[in-house]
Amino acid sequence: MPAWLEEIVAEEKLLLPGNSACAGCGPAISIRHVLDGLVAAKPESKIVLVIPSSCWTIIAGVFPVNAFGVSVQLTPFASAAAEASGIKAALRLLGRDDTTVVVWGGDGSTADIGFSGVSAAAERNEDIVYVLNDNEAYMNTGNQKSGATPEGAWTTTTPAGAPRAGQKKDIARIMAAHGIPYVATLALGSVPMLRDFRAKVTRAAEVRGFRFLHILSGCPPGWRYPTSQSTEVARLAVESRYFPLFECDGGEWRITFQPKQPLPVRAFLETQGRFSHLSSDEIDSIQAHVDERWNLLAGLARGRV
Amino acid sequence: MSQTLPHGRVVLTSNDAAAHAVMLARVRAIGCYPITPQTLIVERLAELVAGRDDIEYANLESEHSMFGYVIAAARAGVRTFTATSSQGLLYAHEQLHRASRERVPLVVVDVNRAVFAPWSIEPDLTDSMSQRDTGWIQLYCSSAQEVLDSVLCAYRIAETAMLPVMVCAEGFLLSHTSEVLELPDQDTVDAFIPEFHAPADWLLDPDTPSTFSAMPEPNDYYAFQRNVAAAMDDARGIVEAVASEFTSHFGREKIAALELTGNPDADTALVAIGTIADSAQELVDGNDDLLVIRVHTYRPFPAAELSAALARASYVSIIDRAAAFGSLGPLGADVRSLELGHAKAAVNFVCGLGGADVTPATLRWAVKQTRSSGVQGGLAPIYVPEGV
Repeated sequence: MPAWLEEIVAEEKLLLPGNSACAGCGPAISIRHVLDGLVAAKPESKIVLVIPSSCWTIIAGVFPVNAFGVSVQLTPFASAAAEASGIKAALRLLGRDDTTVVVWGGDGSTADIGFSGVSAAAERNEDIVYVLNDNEAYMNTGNQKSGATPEGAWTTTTPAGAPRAGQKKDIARIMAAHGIPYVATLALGSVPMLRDFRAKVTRAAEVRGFRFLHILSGCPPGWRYPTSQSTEVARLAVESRYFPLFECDGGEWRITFQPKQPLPVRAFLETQGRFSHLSSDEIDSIQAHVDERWNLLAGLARGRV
Repeated sequence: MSQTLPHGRVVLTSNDAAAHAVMLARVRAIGCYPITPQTLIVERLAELVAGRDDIEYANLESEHSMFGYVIAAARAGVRTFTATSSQGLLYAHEQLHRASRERVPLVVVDVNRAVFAPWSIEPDLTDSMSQRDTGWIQLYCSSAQEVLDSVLCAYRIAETAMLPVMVCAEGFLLSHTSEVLELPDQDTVDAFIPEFHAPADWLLDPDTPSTFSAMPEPNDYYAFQRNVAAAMDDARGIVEAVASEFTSHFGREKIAALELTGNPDADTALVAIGTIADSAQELVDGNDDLLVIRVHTYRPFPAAELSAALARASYVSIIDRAAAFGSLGPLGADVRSLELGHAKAAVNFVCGLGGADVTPATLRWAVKQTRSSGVQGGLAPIYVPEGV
């Protein structure tokens, strides 16, 4: 094992064991690497975590249990970005500007109900780290369609007979359009992807201003795959270019992970029950949109890798 | 560089008075979102805090976010302020329930305005009175001086009770009307309002990992709600004590729960709130058989004080400037919930919605109706007809 990985394995974890995340919960692995990565990058800084309603309302612990080694403020669905701004403002006034205020918001709160608040906090360039924990539907309520649900996906409100029409909201690109200092997409599908993930968390810790991390993490019961497969599904999402890993650092776009031999999107889709109803034509349409978006990002990155 | 506030006898609108009170109270974080007729408060504050690095002033994108911003800033340990009206207060509704249940000592000015639909920017009290069950202390004002004094008292009340306080002032009638008032100097206010020190076990502190508002078991959830109810009950004494201290400290009378005008032993009483109560006070001139009760503290409801004040009244008119469709008006329902067995009639009137005129003549009509009704009063309020 390389030394950097040994260090990561040995880290003290801020998501404590015994929490109530589902078996195989993709986001549980992701949040561990966000929090521990921020600490590794800036050991002297404290973290305050702001969580709008989501599965994490429950995983955070049933009162009086705290599943995190940091202070957590739970908020209504739509106000996490504004509340993180308020906490940061207060801490600045109290001489605690060294504290990193982190939002951990789902795709429902980020892309839908709280979107105006996220956009406004970005436009004000609030000095916070906003993490979009994207599992592509309202999973806490049992898998209903959100603005981040992909084309063709089955959810309980877009059943197989009337699957999700239209495209997943391109939230990372929308956030980058705010001109904020740092935007990145992250996924945990392999050791190289972990390295990419941690480098982006480190970068987010270094930069001041509004930082937006978009993490794709699988939900075994929602996406309908076995609980052992969260990492594999994330790997296929990236290697099929379904979820490209890129960053926009100070306005400069860069694709950070180039699949050597891109897989067809079918390889990603067929691992999950939520896509099992799709016809070949529908999969071709998804493939076309995946290619289109990759080309768009590649154009923005102009060959920077 | 900070602007020096005037002090002494000045001419200000209620909106200006509120902004000055906020500065005198040494607020550290201000959330802003414009809405008529409140906007002048946050505009004035923007001018007053410009260039100061000891005050955070944030332009939010909605009232829901704005309340979230001040709640969170307060949770992290600083004194906050925001102001809104009408749709803004309603848009933030879930944050109102949340603020009291999280025991956040916010002070908010609501410049009362009618609610949509149809559109109106004119005054009535439906916006704040429809929030009466959210666990906020509510103080209704009838002059610019009272707005100023109530905002100053509100910080003492909120930070003692650990409950949010809403200071209510009717749009235009107060917000945009210039009045002569006494503006205290900074030292006098500093001696009245100590620095805000949040209780350690309540504070969102980066150094002490704790989770706030995590989901409890049902019995624990219920215990949290009972705590809010108990805090509201305790707030009655706090409102009274702060008003009394204000009166002696500033040498100017501060109403606590009720303002009584006229003959306390009168056979006829009129209960009202806000500027209508101010108009009603004209009715006692030359009428020895009338007691006018102005409710200043509406939540917690001053039941004991009102029962005592109404103990000798046979005819009680209760005037609402708010609609509660399908039931008595808010104030009407509350007053009628008191033991008024001795009264021959207690009638609830609704008037002045959306700025419709309420004159002394309107109120004389209501009193006359009450005296001639001879019954306890129906289960529905009387909507005062046009032209009365």
